Amino acid sequence: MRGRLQHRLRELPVIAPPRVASHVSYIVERNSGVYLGIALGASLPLAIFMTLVFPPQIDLLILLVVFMSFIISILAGFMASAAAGEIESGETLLYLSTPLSKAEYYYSWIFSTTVMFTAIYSLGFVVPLIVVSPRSIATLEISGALIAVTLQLLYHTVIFSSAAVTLKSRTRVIGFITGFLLILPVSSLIVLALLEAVSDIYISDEAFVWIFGLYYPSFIFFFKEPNMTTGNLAQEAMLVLTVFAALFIASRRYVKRRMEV
Amino acid sequence: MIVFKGVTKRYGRTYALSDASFKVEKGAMAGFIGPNGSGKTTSLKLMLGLLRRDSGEIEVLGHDPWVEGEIVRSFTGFLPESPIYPRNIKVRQLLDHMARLKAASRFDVARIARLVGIQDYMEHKISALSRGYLQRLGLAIALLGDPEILLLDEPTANLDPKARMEILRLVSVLRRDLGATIVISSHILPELQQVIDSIILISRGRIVDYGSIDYLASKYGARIVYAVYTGRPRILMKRLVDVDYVRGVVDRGEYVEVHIDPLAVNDFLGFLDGMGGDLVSRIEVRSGYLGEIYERALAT
Repeated sequence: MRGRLQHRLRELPVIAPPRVASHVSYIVERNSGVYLGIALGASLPLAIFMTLVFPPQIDLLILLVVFMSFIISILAGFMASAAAGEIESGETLLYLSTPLSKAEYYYSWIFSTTVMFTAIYSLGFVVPLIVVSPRSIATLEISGALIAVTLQLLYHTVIFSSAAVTLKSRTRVIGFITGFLLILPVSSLIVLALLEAVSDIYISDEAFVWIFGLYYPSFIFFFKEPNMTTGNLAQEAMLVLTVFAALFIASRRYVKRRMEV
Repeated sequence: MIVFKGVTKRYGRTYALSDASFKVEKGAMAGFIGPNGSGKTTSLKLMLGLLRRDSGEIEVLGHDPWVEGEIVRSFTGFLPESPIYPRNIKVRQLLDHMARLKAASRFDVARIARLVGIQDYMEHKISALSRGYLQRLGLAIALLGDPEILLLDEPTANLDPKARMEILRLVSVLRRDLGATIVISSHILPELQQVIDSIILISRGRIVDYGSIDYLASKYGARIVYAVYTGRPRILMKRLVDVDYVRGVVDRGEYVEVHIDPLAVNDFLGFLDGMGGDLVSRIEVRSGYLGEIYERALAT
């Protein structure tokens, strides 16, 4: 019994927080210049736009939140494809020939993408919003929308980074991200609509929202009736956490048992 | 000590390593010798825990690299064949980061940069370095943390002859100064035979033989021939013919060709050292005895 427990413990991936922190800061340092430039470039016209339509209406702000989140998800996809490019080129071997474990390498990419795009989202959107219209942050719709979109950003970051480590090819990762963000959600909706049209099956609006929510979890907050409630936010968080848990278990097995460099 | 016992590694249906067994003793400088694609890089990656074996056992200083890769890599330095570096950062940034991962200090970075001769390039972008200096950078990374084991995969590949000799000289100095166990994989035998003291012979994923050079040279009857350059060939030949491990001496005009017993390389080099620079100006290995050992081992 004790031997089996010891064996199971040895099978767990090694995670040393100082090494992860060091590699996260290294990745962010190398990549932040371009992405922060984009964020700051976006924040200025956004602030001007919000000033022009002052006081900004809630619906308009929500539209901007959703638009920004889509752009940032695409940028997070580019960052994930950079991770795949690093594995594809062989640069990963440089880092993994040190005590940095495969699990630490994988989590470093997830954390650095998350840290960077949370910073970009904050600088590019939240800060201009607080400056231009501080009162709007206090509303449930806007603060809820910001949380919903942040959860979605984390969701995309984790899924794209996992795809990068598993697929190990920049081209395949870009294909996956395009499929995940565009092709799959649209084709799923078309298939369901056709199914409903040619058969007696009734597909509720809520089912549509959940299916689309698998790709864009913030849709659960925005479009599940009644709209934009704390209950919707909790359901979105549950979906995100469930997928995180599944990915954590799968990635733990993958990096420990199968990932070779 | 590094031990492989019946190790097999497959990529799909292709056997990269098949039932491989060998040992590298602590403190040895071992040459991993075989043609391209014979399984050398796969073996080195298995030693680091970067690849998973399909069967067999591997021990690196008592640790299983696949299960305890982080521990193994904490006392092992690795120079990959054609390493890929991030091009857009400075040499110092990369070395500082690698030092943090290996729990080495900034003082270590400065010391090792001096040791491998890249101290003047620390503020250069990596993309600005020549191949020779990229290889030195790779060596510096491998040496961070003062590893007990150094694994060098084709360290002289793609370098000009001068840079190749400099790297090999550096490796010899490192062994002397650090006392590390070194495994060098290469298929350029004439260079390798100047620095190693034991050999692992590999062909098509199978270990053909392994052991010290003396043992294998004696086992396969390999000849060792040196060209000794001198201004006074007659005097040199007269002194050499009385030495018991010298098998033959031929005056080639510009140099004296000396055939010696493969077990007496160190004695012979010591003997020539004792003669001083006024009699012996330069020594070169003329026979490819490693090649001879390899060919004969393959034939048996």
